[in-house]
Amino acid sequence: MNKTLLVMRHEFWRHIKRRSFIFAVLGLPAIMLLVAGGVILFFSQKAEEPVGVVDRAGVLMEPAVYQAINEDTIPFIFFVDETAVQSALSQKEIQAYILIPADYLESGRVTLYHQGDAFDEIGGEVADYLRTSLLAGGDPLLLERFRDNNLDVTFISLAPDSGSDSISGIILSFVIGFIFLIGIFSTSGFLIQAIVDEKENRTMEILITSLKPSQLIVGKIIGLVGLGFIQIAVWLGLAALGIAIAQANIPQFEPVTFSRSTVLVAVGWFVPFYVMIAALITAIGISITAVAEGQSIVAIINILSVFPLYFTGLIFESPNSALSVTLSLIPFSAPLTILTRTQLTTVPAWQYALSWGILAGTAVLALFLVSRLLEFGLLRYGKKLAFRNVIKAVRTNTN
Amino acid sequence: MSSVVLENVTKQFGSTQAANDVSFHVEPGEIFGLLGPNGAGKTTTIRMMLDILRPDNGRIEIFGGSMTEKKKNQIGYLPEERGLYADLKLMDVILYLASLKGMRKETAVSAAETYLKRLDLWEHKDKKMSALSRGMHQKAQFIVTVLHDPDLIIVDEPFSGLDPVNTELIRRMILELRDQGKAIIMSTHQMHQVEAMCDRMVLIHHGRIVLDGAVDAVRRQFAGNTVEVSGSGPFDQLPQVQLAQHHNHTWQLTLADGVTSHELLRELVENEAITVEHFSIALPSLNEIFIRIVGQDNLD
Repeated sequence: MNKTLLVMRHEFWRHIKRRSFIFAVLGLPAIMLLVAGGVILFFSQKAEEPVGVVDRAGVLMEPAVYQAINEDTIPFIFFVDETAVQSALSQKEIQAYILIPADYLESGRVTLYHQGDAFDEIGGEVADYLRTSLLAGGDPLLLERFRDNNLDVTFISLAPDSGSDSISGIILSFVIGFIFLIGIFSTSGFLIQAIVDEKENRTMEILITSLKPSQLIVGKIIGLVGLGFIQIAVWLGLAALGIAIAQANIPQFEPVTFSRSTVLVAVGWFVPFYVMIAALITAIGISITAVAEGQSIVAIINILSVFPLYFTGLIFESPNSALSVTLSLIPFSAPLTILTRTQLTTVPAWQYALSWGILAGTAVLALFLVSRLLEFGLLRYGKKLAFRNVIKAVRTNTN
Repeated sequence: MSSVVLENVTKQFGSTQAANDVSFHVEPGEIFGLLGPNGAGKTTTIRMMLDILRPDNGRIEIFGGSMTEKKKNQIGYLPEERGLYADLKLMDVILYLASLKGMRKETAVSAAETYLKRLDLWEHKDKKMSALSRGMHQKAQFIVTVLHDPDLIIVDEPFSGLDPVNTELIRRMILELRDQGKAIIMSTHQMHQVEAMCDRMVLIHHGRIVLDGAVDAVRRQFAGNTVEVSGSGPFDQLPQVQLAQHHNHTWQLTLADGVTSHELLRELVENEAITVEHFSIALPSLNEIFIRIVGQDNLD
């Protein structure tokens, strides 16, 4: 087997079995799941706690009757006066109570009393209760139409088709971009650690006397890129699963759609971007003696990669402005900018081509330079590579 | 064809002359000692041989020409510091590094089994490297160095971290490899191993070769005016002897000025009060020679 493939396979399987990688892959979704679960649990508990009602206007139907019509409602309990309901609230038998004044039909005012931790949706629940009660006895069809206050609206866009122009699509493109970035930088941590370790314990010397530096570097980077994409695929897959479950269970959940071009752009731009970042991380690994030394430089790369964020407003406002185009052409900012612009506008083909060409070219150049650097950096055990030495390494004709 | 030829090789790092006009050759079927104090330029010389570094001047030939990717598969290198992959299993590390040397998996598995059993590591083959002792690491690294049956083997401190039993085991394996016709370059500070194992040697100091030749010849070169004699008689009262020291049934006799070893031998044979069982020129150990050459600088 080709030695580059051997290195690639080795790096991929070595890291994918690491506990830290498995934790990184599953940790983020697990944390998000826990947070979401906690929120749902909190609200579901609140939704089950009863709400007291003092109906001086006498407009509400009996809670038991209402509950028979609307099974999902918060439990309501009638109280004869405020003293009784206040006592129930202080004893925490109810989470809040509403007071419907005698002149409700004229004033339309309802007052809700609570102790600071009441369920946010009580207002809506009370409105549903009132609406159902007031419509009771009327046309059952009217009751059906207005009970849940649902408005069945069909959206038809008359704007020119530019992929998905929905807000959720734009947000989703950003989310996808971020997932890619987080995936790239979390697996890059493995890369810098592996390079520093191999260099310092001289395994690198055994490797370099077995294959070319370029084979070693390319193999390592492709292996790590594969690893990163496994992580990203798992995250995106779980996100898609979560969205699908939410859509199936929550009628109000807005359908999330994004075009095929978004996926193509995400993969097409983030692959060379990942290679470029991995090559830079490798260069840092070769030039330093301890992982901690490289953190500040890695932080700079991270900042450079997310700097389109600082211009989000401007990109949204005018996705075809000179700034947006420029950010699309700079390798560090190209993926996020192009991804966002693809959602917002019709990006000219030449800009796609130029942006991708510059990015891919930079990635290949970075691979070449880091291979050169490896040949030079090996001799400097225990010493940092000064910048002038890095330049010298690149210039030195080692062939 | 020599396995390795270095001719007038120089390498400079900044103001440090790491290798200065270094020349030697290593032949198949010999163990060649590459000696020198810390920082003398040994590792730089090894790295230039392995094409990790390029010399500033001079010529290096490996198997009759410059280094190629194919030739890398014929070389085994054991660097001084070790680590390998702490998070991987021993067998996996061996097989991965063997694959990079062009070994087929089946061949590598079979050869690894032989070496692991011989070096008493077979039962540890599924343990992570981090769980192995320092001596086990060293043996594992030795296996990685020789598994692919290289024709040129470069070992830097091969006995580091090994107990006497394992030292002897590795020593015998290196001698076997020499007998199989492999060219072996051994860099070590264990001078008694060099004396016992190496056929030829160079001593590098400040990047320059200061001693070169067969190990015995080098020792003879430094032999002084001392002989070793065993037997009975008044060795300490001979007029040809300036100083006589008795250790373990052996006399070390330092000759008086102007007296040769031949003249003393004649006296011992002719003197009826003396019986001689053994007579030899006292050769200094390589350790003494090393200290005499290198230590003088450091002690001054």
